[in-house]
Amino acid sequence: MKHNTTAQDIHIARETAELFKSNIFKLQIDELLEQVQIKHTHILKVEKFLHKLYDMIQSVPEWQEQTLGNVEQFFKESFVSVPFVDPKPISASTKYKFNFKTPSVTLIGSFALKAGIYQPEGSSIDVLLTMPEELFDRKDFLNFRCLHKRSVYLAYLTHHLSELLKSENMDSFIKLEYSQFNDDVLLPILKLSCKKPDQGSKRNVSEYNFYKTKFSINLVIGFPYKAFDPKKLLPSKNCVRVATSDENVVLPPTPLYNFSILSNSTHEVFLKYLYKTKKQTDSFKEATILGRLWLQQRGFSPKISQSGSLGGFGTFEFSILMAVLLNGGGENANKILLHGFSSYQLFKGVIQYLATMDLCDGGNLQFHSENDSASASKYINEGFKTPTIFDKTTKINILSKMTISSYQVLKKYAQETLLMLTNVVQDQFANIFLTDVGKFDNIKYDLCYNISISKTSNSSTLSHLLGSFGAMERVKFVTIENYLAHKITTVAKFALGDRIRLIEVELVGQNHRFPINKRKPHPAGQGNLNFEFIKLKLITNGSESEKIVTKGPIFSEDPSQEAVAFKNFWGAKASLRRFKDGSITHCCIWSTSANQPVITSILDFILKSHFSDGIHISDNFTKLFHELLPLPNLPASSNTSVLNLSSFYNLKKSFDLLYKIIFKMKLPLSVRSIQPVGSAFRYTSLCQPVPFAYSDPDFFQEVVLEFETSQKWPDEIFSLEKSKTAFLLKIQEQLEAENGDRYRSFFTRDESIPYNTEIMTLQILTPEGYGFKFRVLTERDEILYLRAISNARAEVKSSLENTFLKFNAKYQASPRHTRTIENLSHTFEFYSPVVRLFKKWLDSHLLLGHLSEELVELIAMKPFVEHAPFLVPGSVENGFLKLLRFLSQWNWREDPLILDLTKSDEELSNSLDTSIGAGPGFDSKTIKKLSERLTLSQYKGIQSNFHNLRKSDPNGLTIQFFIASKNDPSGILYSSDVPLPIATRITALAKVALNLIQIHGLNKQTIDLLFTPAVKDYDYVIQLQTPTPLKSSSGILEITEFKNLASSKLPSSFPSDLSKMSELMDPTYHLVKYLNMKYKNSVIFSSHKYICLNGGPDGNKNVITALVKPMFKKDMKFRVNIDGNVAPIDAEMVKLNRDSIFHEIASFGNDMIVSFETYLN
Amino acid sequence: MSESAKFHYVKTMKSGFLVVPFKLPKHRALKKDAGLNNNSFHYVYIKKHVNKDNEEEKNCLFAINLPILSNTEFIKKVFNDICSKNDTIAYIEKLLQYDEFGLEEIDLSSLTSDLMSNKSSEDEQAKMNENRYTPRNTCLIKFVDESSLENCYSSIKKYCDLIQKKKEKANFIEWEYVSPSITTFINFYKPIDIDYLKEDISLHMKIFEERENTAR
Repeated sequence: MKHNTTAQDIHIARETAELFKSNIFKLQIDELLEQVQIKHTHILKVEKFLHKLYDMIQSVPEWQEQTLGNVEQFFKESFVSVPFVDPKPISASTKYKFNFKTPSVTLIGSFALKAGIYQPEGSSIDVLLTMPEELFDRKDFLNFRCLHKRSVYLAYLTHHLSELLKSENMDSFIKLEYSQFNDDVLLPILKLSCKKPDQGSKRNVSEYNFYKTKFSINLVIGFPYKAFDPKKLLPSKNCVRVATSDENVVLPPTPLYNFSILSNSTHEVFLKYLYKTKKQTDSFKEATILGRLWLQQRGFSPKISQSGSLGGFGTFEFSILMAVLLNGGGENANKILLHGFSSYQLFKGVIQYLATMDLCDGGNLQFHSENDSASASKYINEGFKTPTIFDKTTKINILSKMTISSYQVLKKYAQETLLMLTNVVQDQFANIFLTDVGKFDNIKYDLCYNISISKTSNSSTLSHLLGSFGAMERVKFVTIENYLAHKITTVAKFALGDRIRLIEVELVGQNHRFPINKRKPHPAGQGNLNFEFIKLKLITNGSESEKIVTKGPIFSEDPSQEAVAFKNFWGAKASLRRFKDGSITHCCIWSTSANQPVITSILDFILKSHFSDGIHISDNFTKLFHELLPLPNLPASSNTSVLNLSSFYNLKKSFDLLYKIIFKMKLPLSVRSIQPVGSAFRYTSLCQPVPFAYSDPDFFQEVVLEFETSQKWPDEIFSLEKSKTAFLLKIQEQLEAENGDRYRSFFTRDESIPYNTEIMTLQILTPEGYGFKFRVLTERDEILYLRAISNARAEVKSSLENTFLKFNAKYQASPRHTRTIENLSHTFEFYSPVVRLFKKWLDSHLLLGHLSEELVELIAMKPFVEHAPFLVPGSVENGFLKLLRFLSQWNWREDPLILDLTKSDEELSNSLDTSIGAGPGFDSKTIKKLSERLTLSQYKGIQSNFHNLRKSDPNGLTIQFFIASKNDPSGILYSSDVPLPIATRITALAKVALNLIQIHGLNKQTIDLLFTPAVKDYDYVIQLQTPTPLKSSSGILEITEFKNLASSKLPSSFPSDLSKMSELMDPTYHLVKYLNMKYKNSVIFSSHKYICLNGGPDGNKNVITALVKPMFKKDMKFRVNIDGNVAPIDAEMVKLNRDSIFHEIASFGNDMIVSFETYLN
Repeated sequence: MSESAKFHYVKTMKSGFLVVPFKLPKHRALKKDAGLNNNSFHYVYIKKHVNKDNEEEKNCLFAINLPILSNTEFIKKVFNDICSKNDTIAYIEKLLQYDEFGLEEIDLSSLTSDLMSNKSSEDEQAKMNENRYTPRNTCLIKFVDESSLENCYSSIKKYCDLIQKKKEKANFIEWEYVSPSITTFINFYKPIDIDYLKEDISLHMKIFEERENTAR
């Protein structure tokens, strides 16, 4: 009976696999947790100081009620300033009094919960000093009053602490500094840290010096719980009254202000809430640590995200969410997590909740922090259009510090992580916890723009910006920095719509720390702006990012509200257009460009029109990367997007016409299949196909032709090849007879399969200007190659195995490879330009000639199909940099590259996006998708292939790159003959490249350097020049070139004498090929494969680099089979005869050789 | 130290090979700045070849490291030059197993032909392959007869003796490379003549059929 796999079966299988995985995960987690533990001695050390600090705080003398005037007088004589927040109070209008009474002191934060981890850069301990209730009036929450009281309180404390430290001789090593808690300008705190003890001179040496522990201590001044009515501080209320002449003006809500005050009175409530949950849940602490690591690696922090960062969600928020979910959280208040869960289950549960539940638009999560068992937390299907986890006890929205954008980023990463956690095939532990996703912005984000305020129109731009920040904006956003970050985000988000998935705005260079004799941080930028420039970071949506129309609402005689808003937003750019379906719609039309994304033009336009002309948006490196891609000499190519594949489609169309002709031919054996296998069919050829550009090394696109099965193929390989040629001759004859007026054709010898010297290919030139190269595959080939291996003597078996792999790659696996890559290119829009740029990079460094196209294409697929923990690349530079990053870290000795060559898992993730508690909802589509993916047993099979390979070759001396997929479980189809030095060089170059751009950033110099070959690393360098320039005839256009000039050099037809075509082909290719064959045993020669691109301005230069194999770098014993050009040293020893080799090369390359250079030796 | 003083000559290797130096010609691209000597030499290692089983390989010199693109004509000329210094003559027939680019290192045809693998035992098969095998970068210089071989060999020896004696002042034979032109390299791309191709195929197929028939 045929067994049908049901959803249930798959579910059970997955659960079993997951359980297994969860056990492995547990081991990995235990090991990780051990590594991040804080040293116990460090805790003791800092606790010693904390006790001392407590005593000192207790001994600060209490004060009497003071007027602001008195306060000002007091601090005039002190070296301490009062860190008043803006606007600073004025004596004349300040009636309320200031005071200091001893606070109650509590440890809060993760140190209090003992859930901290070791951080290489150090971590801080939060100490809460709660001001006594008697210092406040009921209405002090209004108009900054309580904040000013707190600032004076903090300054008074700082003054006395500093005195006390002096009297205790601790001032020499304890450093006092103001800071802003979580970057909130409304919340100044005092930061204590230690200077390094100097053991030699006994300076700063003290039992209280906790420098070594890398801790710092934050003294946070808190308001007493319930000092102010929480209802009045709800996010919708206004608590900063602005005087207006118009009484009808409704004052805007002040959510940031309200949250800052309210949250500053509830630290202890949440500490208790977390402590209680921790007590009930064994693995709570461990899960918190996992959450912390996960967040940190993705750049999340507890800082407020309104001033531009991925803030608002740190360990505190993660822990609260986990606690809330342990007390309910489902739509029916059902418990999402159980107290008995393991840390893995708890972590996964929180991630799943974040990934699948909408806490912003569609719903919110409510809980009670002072809970009794009756008040379970509950998901409510009603969104507030802002991320919300609402505590009904304290009236606090835990996610107040999050913006919608930062929430979206969090949700996206949670979704990605959920996929990793449910991946039962590959081990994703490192991707989840160990990779620093945010280390390098250009790898984390697809596009990064720097926005700066032009210095030339400085004053007007600034005043324009400052002018738009009025009193209403001030109360709502608190600072101009928050306001700008918000406005840029909003404008960019609306303007870009579905072209982007995620956005982050970062204000670079903000100062949040300041000396205790200053009132506030020194502004980092011009015009008192506390930042140097703004960084706009985007994750793009590949399928939408380059569309030329921004569609608005449908046109109607009576303009709708949306239509008015659309026109107002876009101004002159808005227009009306009739679309194919007959609808007339408001829209904006953009033009694509070869050297910049449409997004760049939109941002440039919209930021200038919504802010000021003086806003400068720079995007230099995107342009530079785009310009590295060869520009084809095609109509309007400079206005063609990098995602546009029409040049490839034209070639395919031409092939389809030819295909039909050949299929119809009457031949002794009828044609069974004609499979396109050339790289242009899968959009990966370095140069785009250009008609008649036959100098391009990829001009002739390969095709594999198969006839119907026959018993008559000769049983000997050369005769077989001859019969194949006989068939090709028949095709050629018919083509000539029936279509000779349009199609031309000729034969050449093919050398792609070692030792098979009898292969002929038929080149057909189409009337559209393309060329196709036909080779014939029969069912007999494989048998004969395998027979050769079994008949051969032992020493040559491996050479023949390599021959077989070459045959397999070229004839058998190539159609599958082409189909797979072609398919994936449609899903991963940026794959094509990225792989082409990668090929260019490899060829700049003279490496491409040693690697098969397929190998390069599979490596380039890694950041797309195995993108975790990052997202799928959404720009040329992002894909390219991710590739470099991967290559720099790939330890191919120990790690196979196993690629799941299936489409994006987004659809999969969508189908997993079932609501909590709804059970396993696998539909047939999901099952199909799952079944296309690599299964665990296939994966294990591939892994064991790799282990077997490494057993015989542990250091990867013969095969370095193991790259497997369903198409090739052996993993070595394309990498069996990569020379070891070439493989190691790729790794080394990628390391250097990544290091370079991490240190010096992306700019013209560094990008140029990335593509400059370091020829001095080689032993010898030989400069070549060919008599004929090949650039124009390869169909390449220089961006700066006059198109008509280049076009005149590009052939517009094939020559009537086809043998003349070879005059425009690269002679250096064969020169180097034969040198490598001649010196196979002793020297590796490399050169540019695409001299049209890397051969100077005209494409007539090349370079040969020589790497002497290690064995020939030393003196050797003379042997008959030494196989090297050697000179004798004595009767036994010889050494490589470099001079003679030079002479041989000089005579061999004769006319083309320009000069020799030697570096190492 | 003068550059010519660097010339250091070893006449015979311990394994019995004669070391035959050839002075290398000047080339415009080879300048001193690449660290080259004015006097560069190429060394060919030569020994009498002994293979009693194989008639074909009688009267041969075994040569290691012939300069690039050496062909029979040119080898004849160079060895005649050496002989003429000694007023003698030696007739070279051809170069055997000279495959400097390793194109025919493995004979796929014989390895895939079932005629051979079916008819001969594995031992024979292996032996047959073994017989034609010489290491890369070596070849056999076949002389028409034994006296030619002897004449040539003794002339080479004398040439080497002289060099050992006179060092850099010896009258070296200068090697003349056979230089391919650009055309040689672009010819790889050139169309094969159709008529030639047709003829070649029909001829080959005829031979193949005959062979098959004989086998049956």
